[in-house]
Amino acid sequence: MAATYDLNDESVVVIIGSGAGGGTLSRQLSINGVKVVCLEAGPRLTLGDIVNDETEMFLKLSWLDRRIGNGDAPDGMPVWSCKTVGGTTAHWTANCPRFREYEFNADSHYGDMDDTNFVDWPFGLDEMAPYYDVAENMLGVTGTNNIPLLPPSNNFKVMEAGAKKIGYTDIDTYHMAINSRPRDGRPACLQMGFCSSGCAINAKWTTLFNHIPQAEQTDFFDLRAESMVTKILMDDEGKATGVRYIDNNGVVKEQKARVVCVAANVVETTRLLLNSKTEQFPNGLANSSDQVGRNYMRHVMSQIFALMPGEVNMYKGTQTAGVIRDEVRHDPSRGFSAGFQLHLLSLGPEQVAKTLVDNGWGKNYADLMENYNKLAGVILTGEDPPQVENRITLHPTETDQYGLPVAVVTYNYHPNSIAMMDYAEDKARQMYESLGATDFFTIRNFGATHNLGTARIGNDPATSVCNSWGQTHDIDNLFISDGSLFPTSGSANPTLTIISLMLRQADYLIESLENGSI
Amino acid sequence: MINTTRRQALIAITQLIASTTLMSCSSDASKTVEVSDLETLASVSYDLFPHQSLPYELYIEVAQRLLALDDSLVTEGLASLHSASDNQAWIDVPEAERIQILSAMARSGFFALLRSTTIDVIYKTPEMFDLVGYGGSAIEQGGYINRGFDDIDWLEAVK
Repeated sequence: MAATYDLNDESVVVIIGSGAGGGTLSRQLSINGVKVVCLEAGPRLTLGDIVNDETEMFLKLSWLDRRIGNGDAPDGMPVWSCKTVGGTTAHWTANCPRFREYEFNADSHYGDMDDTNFVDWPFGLDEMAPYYDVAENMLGVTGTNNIPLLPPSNNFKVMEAGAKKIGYTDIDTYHMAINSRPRDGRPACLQMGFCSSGCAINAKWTTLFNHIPQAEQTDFFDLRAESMVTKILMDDEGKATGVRYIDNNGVVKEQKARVVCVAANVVETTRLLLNSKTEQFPNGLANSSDQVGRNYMRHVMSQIFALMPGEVNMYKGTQTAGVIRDEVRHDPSRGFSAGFQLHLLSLGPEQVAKTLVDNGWGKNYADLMENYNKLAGVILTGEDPPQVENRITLHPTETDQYGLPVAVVTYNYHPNSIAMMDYAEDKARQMYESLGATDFFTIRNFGATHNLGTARIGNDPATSVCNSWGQTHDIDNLFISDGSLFPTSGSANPTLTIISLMLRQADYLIESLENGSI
Repeated sequence: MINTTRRQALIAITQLIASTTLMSCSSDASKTVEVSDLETLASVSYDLFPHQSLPYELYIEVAQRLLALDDSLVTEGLASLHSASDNQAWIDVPEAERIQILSAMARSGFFALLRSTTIDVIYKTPEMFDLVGYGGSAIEQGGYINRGFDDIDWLEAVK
C-alpha cells in the first residue's frame, strides 16, 4: 500500500511530476524496492471525474498557469501540457511509434543543416529496442504483442482512400496505446472520440490509472498531489539535497532526498533548473553547457481539414488512430531534410468553431460550421531541427501565483520546417481533393503538445546537459526524467520513447543506488 | 435591416428575458440590466454566428453572460458599437454596415470575448448538436463502436 515518508528522510528518491516520465520512473523504482516520493503539481482525478466534454476536461487537465509565447509559439498558450496526476498522458491521444534507426543518428543521416544544433543520440535503436519491447507490452500497443490494430473509422477510411489515390501505401490505424480488446484490466475502446479529454472508460493507457496504482501496490511509493515544487535544494558541495514545495494546503515544505529526478515536462523542468540557481551554478542548475532551456523542439505540426462531398462524422471514433508513413524517410529531393508522418485527427464542433479559420466569424463561417459533419482531418508531425535560439527562459519581471518568474517559450520555425509544412499540407490537400473535397483549412501555430529537447543527453558535457542515462553532467544525483532529454525530435509522437528512456534510466539508477555510486 | 416581424419578435423575446432577469435580480438593487444592451449584444452575437435555425434565446444567453461579467471590455465594446453606428439601435443598422463595423473591430479584445463566449454558449447545446449532426457525450450510449463509427457509404463511388 502507499507509503508515507518523513520530510527528513534522506534516503528517498524525489520525482517531480507523475506523467509519462515521472510515472514510469516511479513505478520502476518502487517495484524494485526504492523509496519514492513523487510530487505532482496537479490534483488526482478519479475515473468518474473524466467526462465526454472537451471544455470541461480542458479546464480540469491542462496546465493553465501563464506561459508567454514568443515568435511562432502562440502567446496566450504556447504549450498545451497537463497539470494533473498522470501528467500529459491525461490528454495524449496514445500514438506510439518507435524512433527509427536513422532518427537516432539524425546529424549523420541528414547531414549539415544551417543554423541547427543537430547531434546524434549517444546510443541507437539496438540499445533502445529491448526497452521499446517492454514499453509496448506495458501499454498494450496495438500492432505489437499480438494485439490487433484498432478498426478503421469513417475519418480513417477517407484518409486512407485519399492517400492511396495519390500513391501512398504505408497506411494503417497506427500503433496505439488504446485497447482494441480487453487487456490488462482495461476495457476495449468504444470509439467515443474524446481521447484528448481523458478516456472515461480507461481503454486508453495513462500513468494515472496504470503506473501510479502499480507503484502504490508496493510499499515504496508516496505520491503527493497538488504539491508544487518551487526549488531544488543544493549543498555547498554541489549535491542536490532535496526540494522545496508548496503542499496541497499552501504550506511550504522541504523534502530531503538522496536523488532528485525532474520529470516536470519541458517548461517546468527548465524553470526549476533555472530558478534553483546557486552561487556555484549561477546560470541555473546543471547548466555549465548553457544548453538548459535551449534546443527546444515541438515537432513540425499542422492540422489539415477538408470539406468532403458526404458525411464523415469524424467525431465518431478515436481522434487519431490512423497514420501514413510514406514520407517519414529523409529525401532532400522534396525540398527539405528529414521526414514526417500524417496521422488522423478529429475535433469536436466547439474546437472546430474556435480554430478552423483564425478568428472565423460571419455568415460563411456559420454555414461552414453547419457542415461540420462533412469535415475530415489529418495532422502533420515532422522532425523539428534543434535550434539554440528556440528556448525556454524566465521572464525578467513577470511572476506567477507561486512567486516564480513566468516561463517564456521562444520558438521560430526553421526554413526546413516551413518547406516541410508547405509540402505536407499540399499532399493532404491532394488526398482529399482526389475524393471530391471542395474546401481546405490548415491550422498552424497552436499550443504544442510534444515538448522536447531542453536538457538534452549527450556524451559531451560542453554541448549537452545529461549523460546518456539522463543523469546531469554537473550534478551526480540530479536526473532529468522527461522529454527534455531528447537531443533530436524524430518525426513523430514522443511518449513511447520517453517511457522507454525511463525504463532504461530506472535500470541505471537502481544499480547505481545499490552499488553506492550515487 | 432585419424584417419588421423578426425585429418585433427579437424585441419581444429580449424584453421578456430581460424582465425575468430583472425580477430574479431584484434583491440586488445595484444590478440593472439594460434591455438595449442585452438586445445589442444578442444581435452582435448572432451576427458573428448567424445560425438561423437556432433558438434566439441562445444568443440572449450569450448577452446575459457577457453582461454578468461586469467587465469594462464589454461596456467599452458596447460604446464602440454605438458610436460606430451613430447611436442607432444596433438591430436597425443595415446588415452590410453591421458587418463592416464588426470587421473593423475584429482584432479587438471585445470581439475576442464576444466570439469565444458565443462559441462557449451555443456550440455545446443540444440544438447545435442536432444542427451539425454531432452526438455530444458518447459514453452513456456506449460510444460509437455500434453506432456508425465506420458506416461511411459514399467513398466507394469516389475511390
